[in-house]
Amino acid sequence: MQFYGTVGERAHGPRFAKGAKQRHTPPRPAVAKARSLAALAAFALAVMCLQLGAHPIGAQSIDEQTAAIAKQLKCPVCQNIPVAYSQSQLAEEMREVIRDKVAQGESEEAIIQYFVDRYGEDVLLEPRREGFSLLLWVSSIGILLFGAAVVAVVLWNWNQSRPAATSPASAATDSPTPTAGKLEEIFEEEFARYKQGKRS
Amino acid sequence: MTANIGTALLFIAFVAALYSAVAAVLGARLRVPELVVSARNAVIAVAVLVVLAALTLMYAFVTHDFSLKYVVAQSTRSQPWPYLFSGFYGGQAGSLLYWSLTLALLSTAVVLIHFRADRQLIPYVITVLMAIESFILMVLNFISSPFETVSPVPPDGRGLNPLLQDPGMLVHPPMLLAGYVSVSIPFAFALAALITGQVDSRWLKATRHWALLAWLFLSLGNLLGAWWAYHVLGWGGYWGWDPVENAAIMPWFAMTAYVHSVLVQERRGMLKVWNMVLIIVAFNLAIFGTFVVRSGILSSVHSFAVSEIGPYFFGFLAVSLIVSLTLLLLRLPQLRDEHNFDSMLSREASFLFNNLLFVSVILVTFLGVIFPLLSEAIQGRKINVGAPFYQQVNGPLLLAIVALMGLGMLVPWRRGAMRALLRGLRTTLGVAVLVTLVAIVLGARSPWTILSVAACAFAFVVAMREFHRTALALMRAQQTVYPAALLAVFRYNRRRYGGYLVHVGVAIMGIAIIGSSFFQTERSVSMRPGQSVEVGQYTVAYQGLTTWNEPGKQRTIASLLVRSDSQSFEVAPQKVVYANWEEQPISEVVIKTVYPQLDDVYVVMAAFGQDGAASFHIFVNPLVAFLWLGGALLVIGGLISWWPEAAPVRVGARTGRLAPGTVSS
Repeated sequence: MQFYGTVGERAHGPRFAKGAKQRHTPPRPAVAKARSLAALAAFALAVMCLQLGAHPIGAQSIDEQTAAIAKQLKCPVCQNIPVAYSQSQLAEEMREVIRDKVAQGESEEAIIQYFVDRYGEDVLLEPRREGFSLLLWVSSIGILLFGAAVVAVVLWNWNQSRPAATSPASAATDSPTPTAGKLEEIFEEEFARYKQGKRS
Repeated sequence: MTANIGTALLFIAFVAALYSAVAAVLGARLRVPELVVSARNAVIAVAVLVVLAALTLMYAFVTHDFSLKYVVAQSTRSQPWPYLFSGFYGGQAGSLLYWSLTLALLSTAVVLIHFRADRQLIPYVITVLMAIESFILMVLNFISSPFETVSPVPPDGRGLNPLLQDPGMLVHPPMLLAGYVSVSIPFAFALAALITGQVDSRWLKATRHWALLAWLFLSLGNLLGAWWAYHVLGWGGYWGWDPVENAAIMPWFAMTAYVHSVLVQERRGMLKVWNMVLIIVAFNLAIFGTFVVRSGILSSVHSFAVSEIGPYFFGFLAVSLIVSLTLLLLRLPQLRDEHNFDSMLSREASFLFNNLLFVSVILVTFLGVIFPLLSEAIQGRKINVGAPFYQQVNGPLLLAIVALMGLGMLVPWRRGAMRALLRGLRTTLGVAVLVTLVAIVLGARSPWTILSVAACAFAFVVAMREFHRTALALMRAQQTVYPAALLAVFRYNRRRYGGYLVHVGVAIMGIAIIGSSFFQTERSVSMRPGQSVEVGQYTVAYQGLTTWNEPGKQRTIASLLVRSDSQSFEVAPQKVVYANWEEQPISEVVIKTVYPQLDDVYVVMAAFGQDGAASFHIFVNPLVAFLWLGGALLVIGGLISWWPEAAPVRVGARTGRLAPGTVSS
């Protein structure tokens, strides 16, 4: 039964606003004591909810279709503002053109291509994933892969150098100053005592 | 007259800065202390001269001296006086003057504070800072002077672009520019360390506060920029991944990575090369940021070629990169890490991953910024890289950074015990999963939304747990009540817990970003008076138009009534036409935050007709209020972290006063 309630809620995305706000008060100690079993059950529930979330999108109105297309186009006379939200005269006219074409039943691709033909590929807010533009996507993936490779090399180095790391000399520099180190110790002691006090 | 005085002051300042840069390095090389002292005095002289030059320009603005080209371009007689000040840095020459002013003042502070304490480094620090200052002053003197005259003298000026006549513009550019400028200081110390070969942690300790100051200025600059964009630009968002915004956020990413990474070097003598690279990258990105905004390079390669200062900035950037990277390569053998990594499960390892993620974000963003230029140069066709690209590529990276932010606070230095980590994870992940579950029940559906909520909740809970644990220990140690102990946490370790407060701010901002990017509802409609439209849970009814004439501008005001289940309120978006800027009418956005839902109802009048019909963009942006709350916490946390500890010993020694309290406490 509970699932029906969830399904009913899904149309109201912004409702999430309320929930997130309430959850974002500092956690009380009692809450922080949540057991791992509860966490596991919660996770299972989360996965179920996730699957429920996959739902088909219904038919769109002309307004919505116009907005969806206008959001993919850059206003040619502005700095990176979509046609959908630009205040310029040109963007206003472009929105009218899109609306007319949508009303005449033209497809999204055809309408976008119409603007690309007139204004060049520059009119697309997101570069296409073909031709020269593909290079942008490929190289950004390349950057990520390179980063991952660096991590891998570093990890491999750690494994190689681990025996050397246990030298006693390294302990001396553990704290920036002796004073701070001492405070740290006092703190740890106090915290341990506090924990013991609570148990007994 | 004003023009002559200003020009003369700038020229003498240029000569003094050049002299200072040369005298400092000669004094150090030839071991002539007098030369270094005179270089220091020249730094102070440059500051005095540039302050006088800035005052001269200010005077010209206040007295409406339209014999100056710059004053004509940036002000009118009817411009309200606060905007005369933003006129000062609203254009190219003025913003460069502000740049050189900030650098001169900060350099003076540096020589006054560090001259004795960092005797070996300071001559080279002076050289680097004054070399940068000389470059900016050269541009101001010979290429783009704010004191250029115009003849015949026009009766009135053209005035500042109306988009910039906004309170946000009074504070955002000076903060951001100050951020760009202050990155120079840690950079100068880093280069000085490389030149002298004193690459131990001394330069880091000397610049700890300067780096945080730069970070604070950059944070404020970006936050205020986002706030201005949200309130003024009228497209319903606060961050568009626009090239100028990217140029502003990249140095912030670099400095954020840097302030984390230096902790590892201070504590463990590791990541030395990283730190050098990060500060070099941060400085060059800051120069790139100034240059991008000012050279017009991003609108097109061609406008760059005709822009006056573009090629000079490009040259400066190239020289600075080549010099700093060469120095770094020469010193590489001395930059060996003092320790090896003990374990993947350690604070230092998490800082390393943090560095990698930030550097990836910077690289991807940089690629996106320059790609249109590459495409134009290679293909002859410009390609636009807009927000969707950055959202898709940077989004997951930033998500990983937030998750790592939580994890990093849980693992200790050197080697974390798996069991302790699991204990920490159990409670924090438990709460995070609960929060995520509530978000799912309330409407979060896509995997990205759910993952983002989980990451933010996790980072938030971990930071809170750290505050809580420390407060409990302090409560026992100091025999106080819990709230007092919670405050004492910041006194106990200002730097660390200030930083954790920043983390709390970032997690809260993350929730705002999730809310406004995944749950925004919007409608674009044309209405006649009496018609209404539904947007999300709100009904917006259009009531009519009124027109209002003011000196220098004409306002057209629409009146709309917004109703929800629980309340109703009126909003009045406007369209303002400024004299001299008739072709660019400005929409004055209305933003009303609705409590307790925390929805921003955001209404823009796009256009209106003679018959009273008008078209509107109406957005409902959930949770944006959290962005400003999180941003405020971020700045406060940064300030706490930056706030100087009790007077360091060397200050006591210099003034002949021993400070035993600071040693033994």
